[in-house]
Amino acid sequence: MGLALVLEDLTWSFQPDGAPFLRIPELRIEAGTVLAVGGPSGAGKSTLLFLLAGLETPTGGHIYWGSEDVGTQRLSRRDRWRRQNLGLVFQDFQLVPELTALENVLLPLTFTSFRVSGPDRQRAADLLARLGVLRPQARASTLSRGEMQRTALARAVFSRPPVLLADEPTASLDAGNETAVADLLLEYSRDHGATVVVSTHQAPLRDRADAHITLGHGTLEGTK
Amino acid sequence: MNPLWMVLADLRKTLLASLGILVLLAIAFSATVAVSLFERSLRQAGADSAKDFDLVVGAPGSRLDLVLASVYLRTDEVLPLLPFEVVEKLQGDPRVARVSPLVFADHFGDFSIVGVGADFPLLRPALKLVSGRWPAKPFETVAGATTHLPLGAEFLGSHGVVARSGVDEEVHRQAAYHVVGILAPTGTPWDRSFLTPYNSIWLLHETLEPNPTPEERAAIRKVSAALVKPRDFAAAYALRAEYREGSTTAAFPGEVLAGLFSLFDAVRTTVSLVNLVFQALVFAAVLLSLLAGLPSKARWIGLLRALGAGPGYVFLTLWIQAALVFLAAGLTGALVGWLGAQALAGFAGGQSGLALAVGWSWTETTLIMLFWLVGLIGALVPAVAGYRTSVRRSLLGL
Repeated sequence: MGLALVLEDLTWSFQPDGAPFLRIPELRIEAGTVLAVGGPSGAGKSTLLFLLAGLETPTGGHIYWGSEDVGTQRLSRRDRWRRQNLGLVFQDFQLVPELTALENVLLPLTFTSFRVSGPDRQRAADLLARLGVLRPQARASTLSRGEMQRTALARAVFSRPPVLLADEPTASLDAGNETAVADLLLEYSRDHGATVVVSTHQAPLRDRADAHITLGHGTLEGTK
Repeated sequence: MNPLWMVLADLRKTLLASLGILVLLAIAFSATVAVSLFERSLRQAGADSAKDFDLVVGAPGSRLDLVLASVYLRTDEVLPLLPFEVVEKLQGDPRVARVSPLVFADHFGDFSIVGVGADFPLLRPALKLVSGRWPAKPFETVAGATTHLPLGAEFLGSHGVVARSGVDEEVHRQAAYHVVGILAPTGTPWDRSFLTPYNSIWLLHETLEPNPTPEERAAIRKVSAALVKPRDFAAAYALRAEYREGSTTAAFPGEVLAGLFSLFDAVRTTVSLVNLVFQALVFAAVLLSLLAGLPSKARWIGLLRALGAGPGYVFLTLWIQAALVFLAAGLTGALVGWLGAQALAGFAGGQSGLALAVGWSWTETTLIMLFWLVGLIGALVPAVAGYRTSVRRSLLGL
């Protein structure tokens, strides 16, 4: 099941006491919602996602995922929360090029255990096959862009996290792959009740989301 | 936690640079290992060669020259000669168990011909015959193992090492030496010598003077040194003290060699110090290059953190990666050092006739452990510097 998201008086600035670059007084998203975040480049979409992922510390305010305030937790607690609850997808895929597609999917498992079990390997291979990556043993650097993003998506959803964050996941893809990856994101939310936050400036993906907000100059300009 | 996936993935990417670092470290370390191994083998062989030599008596002069000549057959410095009466006096001395004169004069090729007394085989039980017998009369000789002359061979001696240069005026054509025995190898310079009764050499040189006067005869009937086996410890010290007076000198080879070895120590300390500075510089250069390489790792460090890896995982990944290079460099350096010491020993052994056996010991094991320890600690530097990389900066570039 997904987690509900509540933002309260969230601010973030580049310097600790500088003018806020991002300011969101209030935002409430129900569990299982697909939320699209729109807005021009530099409006703070990536920064918002990094804050939601607990990779940045807010200057002020709260970020509640369910009952956990990710914004004020200690760093080690945040690492663990991220490991257990979050799948991340990036615009530029962020795979480890020297590892195979399969190893990229399994890599997060090695953060906590020394051995990767046979069933986990099988499940990762099945997942890749289902997402359309047909060469799981190929080095990530030899995959096509579409295959790379599908591998990155497989890595993000492998542990069935209740929250999936995607930063412009389709911006680097051709039209065919754009639709396919968007399908997969929506399908994951539908099948597992996961909350998905996806930043995008592409209308098709935005229109298919349950809700969308638009950021402009660091503040909310519109919601649906 | 299993950082090995990332360690291997990143090593694959930086393979050439890592190999370069490994080679630099290994070269720096191998010098230390080689010096340690070689110095000990030299010391060991030097001490082993001197084992049978209790007390050496010679004419006044350098005791070091006396020992170098009588133990290692280093006769580059011509020894002042000792009247034969001294040998006779020693033979009659109740404190002396055995005594043999040593006469260094002639050569065959670059092999020494050494005149010895009848007691010599008993003084040096390490010298064993593999075939034939000991000489019984002048111009009979036993051949050292590496002279490779067969039983029954005959050869002419020459004054000095001249036969090879083709200058043969000084070849003694009056009488030929006759090989009657072959010695087993001992690993000492004596393998490269011929032993013959000392009066062979006297007889040869007397024939150079057709009608020698008693003075001329007395001038020839001298010896280079006397090798003495005292009856006991007290006798040894008494004899040494007594024969240091007046027209003779006496030395325990072990004592003189200890002085020589302390010189080795000074040389080794200097070389070790230079090595240490060299190693420290290489270490510093390697650490700097590891630090300089950190920005190229920032992307995957940020990625790992974003995917939920804790700082500990990143720290271990960076540390293991550097540590592996140091560990491999320690092993490679030790191997290269060992091979280097073998080559040095082969070369120096060929030059001196000493059999230098290079043997591994705790000293070298300790050196490796120290190198590893310093390496494992040094590898912490990039790990400490890298594990708190900003995720935002490394992934977004902002």
